[in-house]
Amino acid sequence: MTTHRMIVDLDRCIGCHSCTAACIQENEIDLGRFYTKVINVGPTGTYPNVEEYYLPVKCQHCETPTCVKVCPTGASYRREDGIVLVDHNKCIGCEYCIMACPYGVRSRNDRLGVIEKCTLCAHLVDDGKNPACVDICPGHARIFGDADDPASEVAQKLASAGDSLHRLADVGNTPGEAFLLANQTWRS
Amino acid sequence: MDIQWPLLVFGVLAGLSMGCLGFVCAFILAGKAESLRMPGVVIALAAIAAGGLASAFHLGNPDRILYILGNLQSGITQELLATAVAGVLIVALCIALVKKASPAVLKTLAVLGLIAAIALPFITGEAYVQGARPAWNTLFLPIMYVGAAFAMGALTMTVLSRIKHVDDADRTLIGRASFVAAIICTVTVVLYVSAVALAPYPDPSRSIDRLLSGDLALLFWGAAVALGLIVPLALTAMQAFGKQPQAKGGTAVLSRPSVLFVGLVCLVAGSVAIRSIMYLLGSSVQSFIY
Amino acid sequence: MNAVSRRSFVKAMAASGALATAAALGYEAWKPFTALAADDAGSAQTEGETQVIRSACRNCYGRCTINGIVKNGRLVRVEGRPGTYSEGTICSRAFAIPQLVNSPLRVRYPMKRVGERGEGKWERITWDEAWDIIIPKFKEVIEQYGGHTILANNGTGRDQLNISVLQKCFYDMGSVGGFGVGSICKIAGDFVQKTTIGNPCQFTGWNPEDTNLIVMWARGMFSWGYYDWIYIKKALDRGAKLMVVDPRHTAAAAKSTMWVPIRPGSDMALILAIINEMISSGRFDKDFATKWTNSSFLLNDQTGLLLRESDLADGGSKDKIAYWDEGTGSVQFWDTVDLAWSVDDPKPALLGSYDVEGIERRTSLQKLADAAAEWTVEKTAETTWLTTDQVKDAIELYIESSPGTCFTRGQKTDFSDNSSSVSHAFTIMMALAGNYEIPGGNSVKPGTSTKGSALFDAVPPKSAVRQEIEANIDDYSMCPGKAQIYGIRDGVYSAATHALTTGKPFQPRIYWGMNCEPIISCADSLEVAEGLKNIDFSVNVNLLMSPSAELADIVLPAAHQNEIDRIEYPQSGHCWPANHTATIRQPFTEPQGECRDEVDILFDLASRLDIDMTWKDKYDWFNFALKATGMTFEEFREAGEFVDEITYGKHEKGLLRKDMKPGFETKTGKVNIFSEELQRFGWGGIPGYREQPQSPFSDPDLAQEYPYVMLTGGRNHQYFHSEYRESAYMRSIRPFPVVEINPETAHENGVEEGDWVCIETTMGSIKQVAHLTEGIDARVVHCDHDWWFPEKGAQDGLHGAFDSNPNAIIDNDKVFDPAVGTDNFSSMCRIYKSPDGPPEGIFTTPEELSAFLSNGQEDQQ
Ligand SMILES: Nc1nc2c(c(=O)[nH]1)N[C@H]1C(S)=C(S)[C@@H](COP(=O)(O)OP(=O)(O)OC[C@H]3O[C@@H](n4cnc5c(=O)[nH]c(N)nc54)[C@H](O)[C@@H]3O)O[C@H]1N2
Ligand SMILES: Nc1nc2c(c(=O)[nH]1)N[C@H]1C(S)=C(S)[C@@H](COP(=O)(O)OP(=O)(O)OC[C@H]3O[C@@H](n4cnc5c(=O)[nH]c(N)nc54)[C@H](O)[C@@H]3O)O[C@H]1N2
Ligand code: SF4
Ligand code: SF4
Ligand code: SF4
Ligand code: SF4
Ligand code: SF4
Ligand SMILES: [Mo]
Repeated sequence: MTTHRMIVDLDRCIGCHSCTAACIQENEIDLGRFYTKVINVGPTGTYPNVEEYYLPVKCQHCETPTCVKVCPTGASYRREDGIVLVDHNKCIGCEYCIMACPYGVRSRNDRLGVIEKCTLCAHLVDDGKNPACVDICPGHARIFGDADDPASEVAQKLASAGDSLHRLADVGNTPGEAFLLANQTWRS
Repeated sequence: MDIQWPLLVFGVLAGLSMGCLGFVCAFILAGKAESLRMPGVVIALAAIAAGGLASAFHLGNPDRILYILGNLQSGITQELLATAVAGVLIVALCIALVKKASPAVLKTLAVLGLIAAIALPFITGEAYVQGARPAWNTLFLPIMYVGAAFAMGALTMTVLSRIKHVDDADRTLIGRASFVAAIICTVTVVLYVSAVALAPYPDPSRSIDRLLSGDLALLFWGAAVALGLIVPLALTAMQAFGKQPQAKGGTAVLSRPSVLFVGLVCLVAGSVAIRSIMYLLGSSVQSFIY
Repeated sequence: MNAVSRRSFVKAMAASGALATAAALGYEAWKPFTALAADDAGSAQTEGETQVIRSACRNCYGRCTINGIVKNGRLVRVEGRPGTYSEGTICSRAFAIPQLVNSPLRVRYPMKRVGERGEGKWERITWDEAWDIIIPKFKEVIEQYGGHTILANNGTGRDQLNISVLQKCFYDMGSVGGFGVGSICKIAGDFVQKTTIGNPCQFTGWNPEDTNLIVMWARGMFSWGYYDWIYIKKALDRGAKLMVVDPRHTAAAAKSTMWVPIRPGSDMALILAIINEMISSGRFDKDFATKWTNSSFLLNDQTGLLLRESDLADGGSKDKIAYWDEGTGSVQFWDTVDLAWSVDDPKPALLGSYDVEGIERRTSLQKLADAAAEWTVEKTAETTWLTTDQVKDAIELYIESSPGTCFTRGQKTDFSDNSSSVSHAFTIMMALAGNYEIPGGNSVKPGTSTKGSALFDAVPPKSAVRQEIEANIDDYSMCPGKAQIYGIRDGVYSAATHALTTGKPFQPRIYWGMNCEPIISCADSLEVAEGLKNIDFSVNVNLLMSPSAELADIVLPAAHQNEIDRIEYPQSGHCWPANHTATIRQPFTEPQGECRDEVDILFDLASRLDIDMTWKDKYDWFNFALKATGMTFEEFREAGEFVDEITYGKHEKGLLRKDMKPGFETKTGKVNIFSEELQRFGWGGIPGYREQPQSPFSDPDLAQEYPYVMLTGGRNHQYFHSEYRESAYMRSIRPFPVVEINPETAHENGVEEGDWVCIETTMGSIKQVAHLTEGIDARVVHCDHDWWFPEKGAQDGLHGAFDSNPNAIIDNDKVFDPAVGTDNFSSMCRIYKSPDGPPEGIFTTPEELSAFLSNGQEDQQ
């Protein structure tokens, strides 16, 4: 089995939005919408005793995705390899999935009347390539691979992360992606 | 989250429709208020049709509506099915009433109709119940939808009972029922608002302060409470405990159909207001909304 | 707006609509280009109609290696190119390249102004017509007023060759003036380092491999090639520490081991405190100080300079400098010509004062020690707004980690009237700590010992005209007697600005602007604009109709950086291995329209003015520059890169000086703790503290009215100075200029997150969007710099040049370093919520930005 996963090492992320731009270019997203955004978490505390990290958020490719559960048409679906996708031919644009996703990572394509989100660059992954936001990341912060393959970097990071492994709040969707943060307090 | 107007309109009209349907079915089962049945069903039909149409405006691709049967787990699929069932029941009842069907048929339809009248508003509300949005993640939300449907139906019947010829006893009964409905509606709103106050993942975007004293206070106190609850409560209280409408006097004016109709409008407005508030409080667990 | 861009603009608007209707429904509709071959062994291979061309990005000093994806002759996208120092990474700005190349706003043909200056009325002309206007003007001005009345400006270091060629061409016309970005930016610091240590190495010489501590002083993590972070992170993971001295909690601060949130402009106090502690506790590299610095050189208080043999005896040599030799117990000499001591086993006294023929003579280091002594932890804390613990910790961390600390700084400490002294002080701090020319420290001559120097060292010989000017610079300079250490063409822009507006000391006649946007990037934008309106004749070589281009007579269309050939060199600011590497930059596509490489334009200009450029053309120059590598340019194109090895102890091996003698390439052959040049031309031979002219300390009355220190221009990810405001991607990611405000300050002024805010100084006010952050002191605000709005017309305040740009409200008179003529980019200010929201006429929604996207037919006028 293959489970495609991306984890972001927040100790490495410098909040540069290069991933954001790479994703716009790769997926030709309409201006003003983003599949991936970068949130500044902080500076928390009071000047000058502050901490800050950068949190790139995109679809977490959940294991029990609420977006899929609520989708009336089956347009939102989860592939065997863990990637959650939207079939644009079926989507009626009811936006129910937008309401059901806890992370606000879905947006509506007004031209097509359908919902879009990070595809984990399935089209590249199916070609044996990395998603567009991975290799260009100036922090080497985005780690992508097959979590089921113990030899992969992703699997190894997940296995060795211990307390530095974090996930976004789970409200029944079981987020599939994860974050690494060792040097600071996780606040997301 | 922004107010989803087509969905909101659908919810309110479906509620009104089901309220009317519920009362018509209750009349059939109780053998009362014969003159109100047909107009009640017609209103129910018109409301659900209009609501259904409104909801289509929400969709990016309404032409693909049949795909909706793709996932029975989905609240929308359930809602669509429930709406279809309710619609069929209303039409069936309509035909049965026109064709003067046998009491057995009528009663069977009425029992089913009564179930639909409670189920559809509940399902409509239940579709919003989801972990991602703490201010929606409570069963008191669908219960509030049912409460609103009940009150809208009751007040519609009260208005009708002032226009159409109805027994005084029935009229009094309907008046009392509408008062009870208004109380139930009020209770469900209070319960829902309490649930919001206690919801997990607190965040300013969905805090109770927003409606009690913040940017939504006017909408809440003015529209949802004063218009939507107090006015209907006061008017229906008059119907329940006031003098008979035929009597002359200071309060009689409050029993005029036009005044009652205004009360119904207030109730609907209040329902729109509380649902607007519900949308506006519907921020997701993470405040990561674009 | 000019006819061309207006039409393209309208076309672009229509195009965005067309895009919408053309798109079909379904998976195919959004399915992006399938990504292209990662294999880029050849330089330009074809994949059907798609080509992958390897090149370099020049959107900042980073020069990350990239691939351009070209379809049907059109650049459609860029990707990072792995296998080099940048490891395939690119920042967001790289994605603006295809948009700029194809921008509907791009200038694609020579243009002649037909309306008033700033009216935005242009007419397309041919290149021949353009030269027929330009050349007679140049000849006439050189004849009538002299070449020194010609101003030329090259902007910041986008391209080393551009700068060299422009310098060569204009110097040989007799031109010495411009809005030299060097006086603004790090080059002034570079020249100070040249006189004090022989080579600029504070920005770029650092090597985080094997380091104990990386010091980033006034330096952004992402203002240079982002890949530096990869190397910093490796060091951190190995256990090295990172100290960041910055008033703002930047990305660097967020990743640091120690953040030192210093008061803006007070850096000198902390440097002197470190030096004071090193000397007074004796914890410095005495061996290096003795052998390789002029610490021991005695001072002559009468001349204010070093004590020479000629001061002591008639007929004594001027080249012999006195020191006290502890071995012989007598005055001995260091010969600055032979680079030799006068005794065989010299024992120079580092500290103290010695009786030389009846007069007490201090050593240079003693003078420094005496001057630095006042910088106790307490006084430093008071001056810098740091706590005594912060000061102590910073000092200790630095001293403990040295030798073996590497250092990189930004240019913000150059935006000071004490700029030269600060550069000097950094050099001293590093030298005394023993951090030069060792593993994990700083290379004094990064990447230049053999091959990597290619472009920098390929300097053409000086012509007679140039020699005459340099010998009599005060006769030709716009700021005579000042900025003497600033060794390239005199480019102090406040002086150029004043000359333009006042005619003093003379009236400039021609302005040639290329690669620069002085209205946007220089302080007192309004005065610059007024000056450029005054000039007799001006030419602007540009990609876009930028505000200053709108004031030109002729606008020449520049080829984009990725439409031309270059040897690229990520030297400026970067760490090993980038600072030892050269890489290829070659065209993705032909230049659009009639755009041309500006180096070709300059060669053309030179040949039409009969200037001998030494080399025939740029390829000739490239081949010369590459000689040491044994490659021709075409071979280099094939090779793609070369990386030079790193050598330590170059000063010991004679690798730093042209004469190959051990030592440093300075007048003394040593690192100058006492600098005679700065004694003569700057504030003094030993660095000292100066409070900035506009600060709460130096001008408390002003601070009553304008209580906050306004910093400007901290780099952000999406923009390079005035550039990329035409990029729909960048604007959609960072739509507005942002002013950072501490929440307390914001609340006091009725400002909330996201409000449009007026920032006001004595010069006027601008508008930016408030961002509340605990990452900045409540007494300081920070404004994004260099905003303009290409969506606004020329007649609309030169494309909104003064709406949001802090330079519109910064005085260019207050700050001036006498040695290098620096300028000012900060001020005191007050803030309040904008009564009328954003500036008028700017794009505020993503939909509007689609006007910036091209429709693929931009080449048809
Ligand atoms: N307030 C404030 N002001 C600052 C700073 C600050 O921190 N705060 N920083 C200062 C610093 S350090 C510097 S170096 C200066 C920089 O100042 P400048 O070098 O003047 O920088 P830009 O404003 O980017 O101007 C670049 C111009 O060149 C054009 N251009 C881009 N690429 C090319 C090309 O390939 N060929 C040609 N011919 N033209 C091209 C662009 O369209 C643009 O008009 O700004 C300074 N200004
Ligand atoms: N993205 C992007 N990259 C760029 C540029 C760009 O415009 N955009 N410009 C390029 C150019 S020309 C240059 S010169 C470099 C500049 O590169 P840097 O100098 O590294 O970058 P800046 O962000 O200008 O300044 C660095 C930090 O100095 C801090 N600072 C301000 N005042 C003081 C002070 O008084 N003391 C101390 N210690 N720190 C202070 C600021 O808060 C800021 O975070 O960047 C280059 N790279
Ligand atoms: S590109 Fe990498 S470093 Fe930059 S914001 Fe995205 S994840 Fe972080
Ligand atoms: S993150 Fe949201 S959109 Fe993505 S799979 Fe989970 S629920 Fe669905
Ligand atoms: S908008 Fe499309 S993907 Fe989302 S729930 Fe509706 S049909 Fe499914
Ligand atoms: S994986 Fe692909 S779609 Fe997802 S954020 Fe990265 S670039 Fe965008
Ligand atoms: S860091 Fe500089 S050189 Fe590298 S991709 Fe970004 S803009 Fe280009
Ligand atoms: Mo600069």
